[in-house]
Amino acid sequence: MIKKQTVISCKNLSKSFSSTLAVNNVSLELFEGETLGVLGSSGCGKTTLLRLIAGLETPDKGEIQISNSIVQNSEIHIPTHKRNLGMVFQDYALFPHMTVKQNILFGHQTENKTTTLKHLLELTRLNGLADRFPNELSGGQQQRVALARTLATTPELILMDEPLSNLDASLRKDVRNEINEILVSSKTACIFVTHDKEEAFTISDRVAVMDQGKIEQLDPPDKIYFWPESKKVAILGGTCEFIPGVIEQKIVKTILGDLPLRKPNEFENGTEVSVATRPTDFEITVSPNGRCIVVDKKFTGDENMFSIQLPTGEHLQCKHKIHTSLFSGLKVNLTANPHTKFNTFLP
Amino acid sequence: MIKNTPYWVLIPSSILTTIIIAPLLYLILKSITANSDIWEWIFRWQTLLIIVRSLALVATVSVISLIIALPLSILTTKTDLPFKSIFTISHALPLVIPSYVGAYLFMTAFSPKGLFYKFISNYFEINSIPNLYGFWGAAIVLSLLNFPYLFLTLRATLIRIDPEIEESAKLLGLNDFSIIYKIILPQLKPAIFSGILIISLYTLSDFGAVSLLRFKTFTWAIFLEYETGGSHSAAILSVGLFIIAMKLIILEALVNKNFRYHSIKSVGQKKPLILKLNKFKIPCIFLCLIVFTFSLLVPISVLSFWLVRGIYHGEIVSIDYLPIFNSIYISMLTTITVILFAIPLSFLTIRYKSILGKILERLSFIGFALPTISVSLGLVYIGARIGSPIYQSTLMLIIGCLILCLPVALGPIKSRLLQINPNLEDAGKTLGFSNIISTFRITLPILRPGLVMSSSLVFFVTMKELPAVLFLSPLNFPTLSTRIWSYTSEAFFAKAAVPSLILIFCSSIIFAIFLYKSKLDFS
Repeated sequence: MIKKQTVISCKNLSKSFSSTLAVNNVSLELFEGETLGVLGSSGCGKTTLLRLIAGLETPDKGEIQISNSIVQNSEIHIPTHKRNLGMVFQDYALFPHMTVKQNILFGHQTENKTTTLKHLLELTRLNGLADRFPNELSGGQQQRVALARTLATTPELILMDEPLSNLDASLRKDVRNEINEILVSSKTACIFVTHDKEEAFTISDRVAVMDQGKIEQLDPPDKIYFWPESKKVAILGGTCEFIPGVIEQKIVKTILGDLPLRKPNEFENGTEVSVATRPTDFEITVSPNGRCIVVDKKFTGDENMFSIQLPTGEHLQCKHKIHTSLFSGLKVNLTANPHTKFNTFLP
Repeated sequence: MIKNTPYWVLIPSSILTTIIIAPLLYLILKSITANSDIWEWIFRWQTLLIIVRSLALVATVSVISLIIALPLSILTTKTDLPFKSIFTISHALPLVIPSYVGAYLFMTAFSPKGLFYKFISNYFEINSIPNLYGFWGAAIVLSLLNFPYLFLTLRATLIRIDPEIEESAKLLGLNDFSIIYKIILPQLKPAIFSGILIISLYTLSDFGAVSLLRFKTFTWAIFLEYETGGSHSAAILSVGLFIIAMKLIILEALVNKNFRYHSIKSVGQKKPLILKLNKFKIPCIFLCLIVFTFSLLVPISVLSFWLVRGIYHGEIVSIDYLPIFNSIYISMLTTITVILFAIPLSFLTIRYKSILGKILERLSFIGFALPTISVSLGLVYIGARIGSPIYQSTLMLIIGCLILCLPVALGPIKSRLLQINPNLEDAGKTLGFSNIISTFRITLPILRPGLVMSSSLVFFVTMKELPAVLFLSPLNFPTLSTRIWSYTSEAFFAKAAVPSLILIFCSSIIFAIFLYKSKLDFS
């Protein structure tokens, strides 16, 4: 196996604004052609992390290397324009006084401008719009101009700050797929920041879950979903609810019966734990002497989401097939899906 | 925080602040070192009278201007008045007539045996008309020429009032007049006070009208003291004038602090609510026509009369080009200088929010409170101390105009800069351009409409400026404004007509650019 080149590595980055620690001791590495999604709720420090990497902010501590040369440590600060990276801003930051063509070629330094422009317009499907001004474009088109403008400088690394958050729901999916294709075909490494787990999971090769300035877990999307290392990651990685349980002989005993463990040797027998459950983990079966009660049904179009009251009084979200005869007040039983293994955390 | 501020911002801003506070500091120093005789001379009835006269003039001009400007601004924005755009322009245009030209025309038209008397004595048996020199003359002239400041301020606010507020008032059952009274007027209050502040400061620092109409306020008293060699007393009076101006500014800030809850957002594409005038349409047109007649038609007619008479009697033989050239030369140099300093100062206060920036911003505000005559006097004394090559040099005159025009120039640049997304410059940096190149290639071009507006305002104000030029210009350096003033004070009325017309013509062109640009504010 060929070892991939490191595009960027951050070591122990920290940055605080007045009294809040926006980025707390963050380290990460990114390889060529790889896409890293930074997932976190608003205010978790993810935008600050991007701006530190871009050189738009100076960290209090830590080191940044881009293509194996140091661009930031306690002595060196290479300014943004010498770091050979591109950034796509949340509001796109297109230059309002320039046409699409002028915007795209703004940072392009080499001779063959016409070829580059033609190639980029084709890649971002903006053919025929080269002479328009940004205010004459739709949100999705502006987004693609911002991306083309960044690609025109052939950066080694692209940073994207919530690139899809200004688009409406119907457009998001399309643009998301387009960005994915463009990144794959241009083979550029990319760090992109989002609060939307679906976005993070579909675009990224790896996802960094961030909370209160710290990276909680950095892993491929499926691992984040199935192997969360903390309660926070479990919650940020998808709909998640917790029920109490006690570890016993490599299983966990709960109100819903004995459940298999994903990491059987993590806790000693008798440890009281919280068991993370996803809406897909349980099968609903109707039974006249069922111990649980259906209390609510939400039909979202693609699926039915039921709220089930457990004997303890707690509520649990469960997905169920579209064509169903379940209704509120019905007595049911919940049984764990045969392939599901459960993650447990200290309460 | 200072370390993040680039040098091209920091250095000009610091120089500017020094220039602004130097004349004031010098005047204060000079006042403190005055001997007891002068202080005795200051503390007498005449000084109190000067204060009372100045304040009475300020109050009267403010009230008259408000009575004229308030109905006109509402009529031209919120009603179905015909010829709205023509009236809007004609009510803004009196600004192009400098106060000394207005005073000169008023004197020759409405003096006891003046043109107006000669005109009506053809039809009626009267000996003379009442003397309108002094207080009422100055009050009428200054009101008719300064009300556009209030008119334009009120209009700017009226246009931006959210029509949805008026529509919901209508849905709640208010009729058109209650909407004006209960919805529009309360929202106008802050604009009324800031407009009145502008008019008060202009009235307080006006020199041309009060000196020609012989009404002894602060400015004319300072000038007379200076002329007769009383440098200490002139300095003390200047500091007094500054203190009064400062108090007016503080008063306005205190009053308007209570009104900050008014939300004025950008209205965008929404259609404004138009109130129907119905049977009041004719009286309203009549009102607009009266104001148009007295503020614009009469002055221009009187001026034309003097021009024709001057040519007819052979008093006007040829046009003297030197004052025209000097006026344009000084205005151009001032405009370039002011813009070069205003850009870094705007960046400092908006982009680099540092403690230093805040201090410099406050200090630059002093320029707004410093009446021209005080600035000029301070600079004259400093210049005299240093001697050549500074004293009576063009540089000194430009420094004076710089302090005078800076607050005017900062407004449009700052409001434009506030609208520009700071991410644009960051985007420039990520595309491989250094900080300063990003600013020049991205922010400055977007800033251009603001720069054009500022430049035209500065050019316009400098062209009209009288006291600064009288005090600070080099020897044998006539400008249009000084020519008009000296001809008029020596009663060569016909001779004053040509420079006045040229000045008004040049000012109108610049003013037209300003009005045009202020409408084209794209975002």
